[in-house]
Amino acid sequence: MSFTNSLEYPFDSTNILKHKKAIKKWLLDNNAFQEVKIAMLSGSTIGYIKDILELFLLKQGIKPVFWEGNYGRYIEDTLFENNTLFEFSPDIVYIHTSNKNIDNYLNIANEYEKFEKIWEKIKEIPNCKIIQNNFEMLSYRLLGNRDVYDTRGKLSFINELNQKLYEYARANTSFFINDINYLSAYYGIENWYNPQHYYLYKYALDISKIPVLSFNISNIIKSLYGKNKKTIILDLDNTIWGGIIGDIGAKNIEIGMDSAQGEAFLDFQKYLKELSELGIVLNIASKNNEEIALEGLKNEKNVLKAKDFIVKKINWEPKSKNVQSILKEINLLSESVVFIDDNPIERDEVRSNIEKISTINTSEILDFIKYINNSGFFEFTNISSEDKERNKYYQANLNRNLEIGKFKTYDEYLSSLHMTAKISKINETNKERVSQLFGKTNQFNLTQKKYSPEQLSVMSTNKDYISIVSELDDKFGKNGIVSAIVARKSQDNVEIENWTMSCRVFKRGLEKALFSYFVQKCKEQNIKKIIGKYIRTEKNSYVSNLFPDLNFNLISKTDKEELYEFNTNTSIEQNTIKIIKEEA
Amino acid sequence: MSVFEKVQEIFQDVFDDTTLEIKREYSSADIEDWDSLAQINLITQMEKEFNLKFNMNDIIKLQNIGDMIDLIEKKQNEQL
Repeated sequence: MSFTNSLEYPFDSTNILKHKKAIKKWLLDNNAFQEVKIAMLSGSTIGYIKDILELFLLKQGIKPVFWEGNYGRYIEDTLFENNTLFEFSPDIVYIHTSNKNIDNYLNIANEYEKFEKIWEKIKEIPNCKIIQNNFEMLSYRLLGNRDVYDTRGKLSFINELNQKLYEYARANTSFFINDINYLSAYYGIENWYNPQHYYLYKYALDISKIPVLSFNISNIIKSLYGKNKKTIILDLDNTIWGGIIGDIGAKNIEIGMDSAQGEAFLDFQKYLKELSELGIVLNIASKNNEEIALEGLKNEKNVLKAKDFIVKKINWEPKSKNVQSILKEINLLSESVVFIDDNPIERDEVRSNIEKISTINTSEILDFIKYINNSGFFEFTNISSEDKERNKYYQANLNRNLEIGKFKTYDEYLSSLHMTAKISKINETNKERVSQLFGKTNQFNLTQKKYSPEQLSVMSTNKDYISIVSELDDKFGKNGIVSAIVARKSQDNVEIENWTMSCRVFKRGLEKALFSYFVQKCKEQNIKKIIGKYIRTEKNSYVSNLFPDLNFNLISKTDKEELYEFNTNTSIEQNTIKIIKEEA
Repeated sequence: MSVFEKVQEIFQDVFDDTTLEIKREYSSADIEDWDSLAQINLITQMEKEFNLKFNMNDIIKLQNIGDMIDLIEKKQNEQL
C-alpha cells in the first residue's frame, strides 16, 4: 500500500490517525534516515501528537528517538526530576503546553518566570534546541469585547504573555515558537478545542487537529536539519498569469488590477516575489514558444520580471526533462524543489519521473498561496544575510552546469495515461466548439483558416469533406473536444484545409493517433494522396515540423508556405492512444 | 439490521477489519487497537448511525460492547 499523498496538505486526519501504523511501516521501508533525539514535555496529553510527529519527520528523512515526559509534569520533569531528561541529552526539547497550563491570570511576570526557568534549565543541555508552544486564545471572553484590552481580561493576559515569549525567542537563537495561536485561529478556536476530548482524554486540542499540530512542529525540526525547500519551478500560463499567451498574445494575459482573475494572479506574483527576496530561487518550466513567453514577462503589469527567474526553460519538451535540466544548472536535488503548475497532468508527469519532488495538488489560482503556505515548504527558522544573496550565487553557477538531465522515456509516461480519443464528424452538437477551436487556437493551427458554425453545419452534409473531431480522455478525466481536422476531396486526392489542436493536449501523441485514423478513412474512400499545407505565422512554429514528423514529403516551399504530400500506402506507426469512434 | 449487527459493522470499519466479530462482553482489553482514539471514533460513528447524542457521563460508564448496545437501545426508547 502506498501513502504518497497522505502526509501532504490538505491532510485527511481520520486517514492519518487510523492508518498511522501502516504509514509508519511504509515510510520506514522507503527512506534513509538521520536520527534526532527529541524530548517531549507534557502540559497535557502527548500520545498521538508524538505518533503523528514521528510520521511527518520520517517523511522528511528524520528518524526521531523520543523521550516522553510524564503527563502534565513539564515543570517537574525539567526542574526537579531532571536526571533522565538530562541523561537522554536531547537534540530538541518540545514543550507542549497550552492555555490549560496558565495557573492564574493575576500576574504576568510570575507566569512568565515559570516558563523562563524551564528554558534556562534546558539551555544547560549542550546544543539543545527548544520548541515552545505559545498560548492559544480561550474559547470564551469573560468581559466580552473588553477582554482583549482590559488588563483584567484573560485575552489581554494571554496576548501579553505571548509577547514575552516572543521577546525571549528574539534574544535566543536556539529557541523557537510553535505558533498554536495561529493554528487555532486559522482553523477556528471552536474547532481547535474540544471539551469532550479534553475532559475525557486530556488533549488540549481536538484530536482531529493533531496532524496539523504535529506537522507544524515537524516543519520547525526539518528546517533546523536543513530540509527546507530551496527553489520553486513555475509554469506560466494560468499559473503566474491568466490565459494561454500563445493564443491571446502577450498584451492580453490576465494580470493586474483590471480583472478579478488578474488581481489574484498579481497577488500570487507578489507572494512569489517576497519568497524570492528571502532567497527562494524562482525558475520557469513552461510549454510555450519562448519568444512569446518572454514577451509576456515584459508586460509591465507583472510584478515578476524576467530577471527574477534564474533558469527559464520555455519549450515543448516534457516538463520533467526541463525540471531535471534546471536542477542540473542550479545544482539542486529534486527534494529541494516545489513544482507549481495548474495542469494536473503536468504535475503527475513530473512527479512520476522525478522522485521526491514536491507539488501543490491544486489547479485553482485562488488556492495557490494557501497550499504553498500550509505545505510548510519554507520554514524560516533562521534568516541569514546570505539568503538574500542566494539568487546571485545561482546565477553564477548557471554557466558552469549547462548539462541536460536524465529522464525516463516519455513514451512510458504517455502509455501510463491510458488515453482514449473519442472521434466523431462535424455535426450540429459540436459545431460551436469546433468553430471556436479553429478561431481561438494560434499554436496548433496550420493554415489559419476559420469556420463559422453555419459553414460547419453546411459542410457536415457535404460528401466532399472529410472531418474529424476528437475528444481526449485519460485517467485524470475528460478534456472535451480538443482537435479538429477539415479536409476536402478532389478525385483521389484530399487536401487538409486546416487542422487545429488545443495546447492543453500538446505532446500527448494525439496528432499521430488522429492522423492514422484519418489515413484509414481516406483508404476506405480510395484516396491515394493527402495534401498538407503549412502557412507560417508568428505563433504557429509549434507545428512547423508536423508534416515531416508524420512522414509527409515536401513538395514546395516559400518563405511563408510549405506544401506536402502523403501517400496513403505509407505504413503508419502504432501509438498509445485508443480510438473510439462515435457514429454521428 | 439489529443494533448488534450495526454496531458490529461500526467496529469493523473503525478497526479496519471486515472479519472482526464482536461479543457483548468484549472490552478494550480484547481488541488490540482499542485505544482512546478508537473509542472516540466508535462513539462518533454510533452517534451518527443511530442519530443519537451521548452524554459524557454515559461514555465514562461504558465498560464493554454490551454496555454500548444497551445505551443505544435505552436512548432509542427515550426518543420514542
